[in-house]
Amino acid sequence: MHILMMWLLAPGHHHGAWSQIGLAISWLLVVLVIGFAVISVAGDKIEIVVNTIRDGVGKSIGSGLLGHLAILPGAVAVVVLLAVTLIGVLIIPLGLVAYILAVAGIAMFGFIAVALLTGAALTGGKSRDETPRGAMLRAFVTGTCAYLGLWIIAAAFAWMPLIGALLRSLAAGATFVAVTAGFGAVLRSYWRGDFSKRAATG
Amino acid sequence: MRDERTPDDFVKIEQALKRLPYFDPSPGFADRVMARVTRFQPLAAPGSIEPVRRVPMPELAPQRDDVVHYLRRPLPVRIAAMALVGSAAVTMSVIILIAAMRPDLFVFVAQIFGGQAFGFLAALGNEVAGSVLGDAGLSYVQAASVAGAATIGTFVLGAAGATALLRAAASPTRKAA
Repeated sequence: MHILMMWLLAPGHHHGAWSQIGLAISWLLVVLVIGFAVISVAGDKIEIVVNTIRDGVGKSIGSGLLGHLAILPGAVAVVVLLAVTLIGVLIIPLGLVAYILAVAGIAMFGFIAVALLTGAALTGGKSRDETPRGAMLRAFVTGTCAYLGLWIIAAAFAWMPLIGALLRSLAAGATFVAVTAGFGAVLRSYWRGDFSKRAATG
Repeated sequence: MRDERTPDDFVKIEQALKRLPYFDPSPGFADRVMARVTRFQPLAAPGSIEPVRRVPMPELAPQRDDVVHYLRRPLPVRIAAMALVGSAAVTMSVIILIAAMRPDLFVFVAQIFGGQAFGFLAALGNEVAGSVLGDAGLSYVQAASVAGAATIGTFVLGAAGATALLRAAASPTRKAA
C-alpha cells in the first residue's frame, strides 16, 4: 500500500520547487481534513489501531510488508473471482475500483493512527486540551506535519539536484515505514478481531 | 391503633425472657429439617460445584458461519446466491477438465500472459520509484553511482529513523504516561 500512498503523497514529476511545495502543502491539507473526519467519526477505532501499534511496532511493520505483497495478488483474485462467476464479469472494473478504494482507505486509516501516535510522542503528553478528542486532534496534526513536513522540506530543496534527491529519499523512507506500520496495524487489528470486540462491548 | 403498654410492662417481659433456659438445636437438626423440604436444585457442596453452563443468547449466537443462515434468506437472494456459486463451480470444473486434457493450452496462455505480467510489474515498479524518489533520484539509482547509493542510504536512514521514532512512541513508559 505504500506504493499507492507514497505515489499520492509524493509531489510527483512536477518540475519547479514552488509547484512541488504547493503540491506537498495541498496533500498536507487533504490528509488533515480526512484525518479530522476519521477521528471525529471513528476515533475509537483509531485508538484500537494505535494500541495495536503499541503492542508491537515490528509486528505491525511485518504485517504491513506482507499486506503490501498481497495487494497485487488480491487484485488478481478479485478479477478471477468475479470472472468465474460469469455474472460478475460485467462488474470487474467496479470491483477493481472498490478494491483500490478499500486498500487506499485502510492505508489512510493506518497512517492517521501512526501520525497520531507519533504526534503524541512529539508533543510529550502535554495536557493543554480539555477533552481526549482535542488531545487526539492535536497529536494528529503534529504527527502529520512531522511526516509531510519532510516532503515540504524536500520540495523546497528540489532545485538542488543531489540534496533535493537525498531529502526526498529520506522523506520517502520515513513515509514508507509510517504507512507500512499503519497498514499492518489495521490488518492485525482486524485479524485479531479487535474491532468486533469493541463493537460487542460497546 | 394505639399501644397502651407502659415501660414497666417491658421490664416484666425482659425479666421473663431472662428466666428462660439456654438451649441450642441438637446435632443434625438442620439436616433433618431440610430432608423434609422439596429441593428443585441440587445443593452446592464443596468439591461438587459445577459451573453454570453458559448458553449463548440468540442475538449473540454466530449466525453468519452457518449455512442455515443463508437458507433462511428470501427466495430471490437464494436464487442469486445459487446462480453465483453454481456458475463459479461450473466454470472451475470446466477449467479443471480442460487443464487435464489440454496442458499445452495452459502453457501457451502462461507464456503469453506471464511475459506481459512481468513487463507490467517492471513498468509499475519503475513508475512508483520515479514518483517516490523523483526523476533525479531515480536516475542516480539507475546509474549505480555513488549518488545512487547515497539515495538508497538516505531512504534506509529515513525508514530506520521513523521506526526508531515509532518504537520510542510505543514504549511502555510513554504508554503509561
